[in-house]
Amino acid sequence: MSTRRIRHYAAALTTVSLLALTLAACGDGPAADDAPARSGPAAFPVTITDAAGDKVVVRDRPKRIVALFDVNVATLDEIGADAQIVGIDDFAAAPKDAPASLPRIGGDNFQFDAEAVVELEPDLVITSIGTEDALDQQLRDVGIQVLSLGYPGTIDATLDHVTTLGAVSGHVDEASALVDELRSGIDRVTDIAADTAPVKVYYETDASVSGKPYTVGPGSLIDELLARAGARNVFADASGFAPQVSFEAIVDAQPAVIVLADAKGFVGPRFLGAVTVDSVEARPGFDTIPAVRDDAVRPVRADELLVPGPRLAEGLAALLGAVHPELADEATAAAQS
Amino acid sequence: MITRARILVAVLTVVALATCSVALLAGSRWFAPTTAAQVLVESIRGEAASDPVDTAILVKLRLPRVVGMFAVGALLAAAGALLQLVLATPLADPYILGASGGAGVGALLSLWLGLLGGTALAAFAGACVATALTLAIGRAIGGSPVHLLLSGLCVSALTGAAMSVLLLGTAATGHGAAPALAWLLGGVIPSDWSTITAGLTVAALIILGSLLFGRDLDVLTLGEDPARALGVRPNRVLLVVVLATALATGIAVSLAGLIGFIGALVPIATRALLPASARMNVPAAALLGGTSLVLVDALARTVLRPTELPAGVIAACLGAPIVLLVIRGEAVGRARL
Repeated sequence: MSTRRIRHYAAALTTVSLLALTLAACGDGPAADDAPARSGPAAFPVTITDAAGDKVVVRDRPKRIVALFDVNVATLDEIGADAQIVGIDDFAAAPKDAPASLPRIGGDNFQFDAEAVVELEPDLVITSIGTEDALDQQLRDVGIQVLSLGYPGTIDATLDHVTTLGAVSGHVDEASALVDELRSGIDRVTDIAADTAPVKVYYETDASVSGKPYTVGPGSLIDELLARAGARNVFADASGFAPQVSFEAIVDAQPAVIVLADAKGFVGPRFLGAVTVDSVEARPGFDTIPAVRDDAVRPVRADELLVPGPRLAEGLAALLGAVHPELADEATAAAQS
Repeated sequence: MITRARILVAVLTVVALATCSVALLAGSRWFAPTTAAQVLVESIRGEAASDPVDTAILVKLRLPRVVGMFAVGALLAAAGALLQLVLATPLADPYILGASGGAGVGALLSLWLGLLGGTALAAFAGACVATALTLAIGRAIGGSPVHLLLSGLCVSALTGAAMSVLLLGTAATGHGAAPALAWLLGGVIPSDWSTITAGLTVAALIILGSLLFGRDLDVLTLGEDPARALGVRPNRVLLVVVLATALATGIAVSLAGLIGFIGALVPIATRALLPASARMNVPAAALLGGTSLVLVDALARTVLRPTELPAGVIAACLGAPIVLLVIRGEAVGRARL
């Protein structure tokens, strides 16, 4: 499943029952308790605290991993565990060297094919938020080890997430290298915007509900990234990490820059209700917003970059480029070097 | 009693105007009454706005929202009052003849097909089709109010099933779950002046009709045979009422999504306070319904400001206990007499 689907799931929950804070707490993510930082590949058994707070002991280096959720797949691929992946969900991008025949095990509307997972004879299934009832328990009932890692909701949680995936897949050193690389990349990009005055930014994730788009609230990964990109999230005081706001609230906030994570051409073809810069500028009352008057309504490729995975430094650079276009090239270079 | 009723309608009118005025002042930005008056006067006279942001928020965004919500509440409550009278049950509401399910199916169908802009129209068409179906089946199995209720029950069950299938479908096409949920929870903000005007017109026509033909409606509550003896054709009155309520519900749903409780509870409350006369109950219900929804919507945008809550949720949470108190108070009052 894509992160956007997870966010929608979370947003729906926020709407219905204001459970957002609970979910945000889940987003802090699990940590590898006993994962030795630099002790090489032979560190099994590994004990992990999963998203539900339970201790999970992975006894041996898994040879057959089924991984759900694109960030899990991308991170495993990046740390050299791609050869161990025997199945992924319908929405994740396949590892770079994976055969086209790599089995997909569903994920539409959180419907997974548990039987297909069992047939793959995995020794470890890595799941995420929202799959507990749909899949995890069924697999545990037939004796398959499931590790639900939750959705990393902060930069630190993302780095812990990488460390955890390295520990459970037996790629501790590669994971450690990726964490160092991400951390220094994020720090280098953060330094670029450190001296600029924060710009008021409205970040839109989805405007498919007429007149009430979704944005990012306090405690969300994007809110944290915005702060590092020389921006001040105008809805940093909203409730929940995926709050719904009215056009009125956006006009009232008078953002200097509008970042669109829901723009046509920047989101997948299955995204319902993608907007364009023109359609956003044409909304009632938006002609009074500085971002609209100054042509500072800018789309980003959020689904690929602004997710808690191995491209997070690149994502932060893209966000910084959208907020401060004059620093875009410098930021891109800093993320890569 | 008539005097008491007239006083009540007069009080309701004043309260409605006062509530709408306060609702115009409340939101992400609070306006002083003098500022708001100045902005409105400038806008009406076509003068240049002294503060364009105030004008954008008050005139372009908040005014259609407040007036639209008043229209929706008035339509639903008037339709509910009419149906409770002619179907001779306080359990009737605008949705009981399948209009809500029909509107939901229409809205979800348009989302499923990716026709985001056509959602309101599709909801309206769905409400009309489902009510027509209820009417046709009701007449085929007998044509009395009870047959109509039974038919509505069946159509609602069918549309409920269709909605479940479509909800899975919209989720499966990627990102339809959030807007679909918003529709079902009544989380849509009225913005289109032509639909709002149509809604106000239909509400006014229903009030006018109930004033002109109130005697026919009242006679109908005596039962079909006494009504016939008094020169009223029950089936014709029933047909007109059903068509009027389908129109009212369709417009209401297309403006604001599915908002429950207002259409059921407001007429119960007015019925508890007023004599059983359509001439009194329908206008009173319309006024109280509009006022209630304006109030509920003002709370929805201010309680967790800037995060928006679905109006339907607040309507249910506040409406149910208040109406129970009104009914209980009335019962206690009667017992003392």
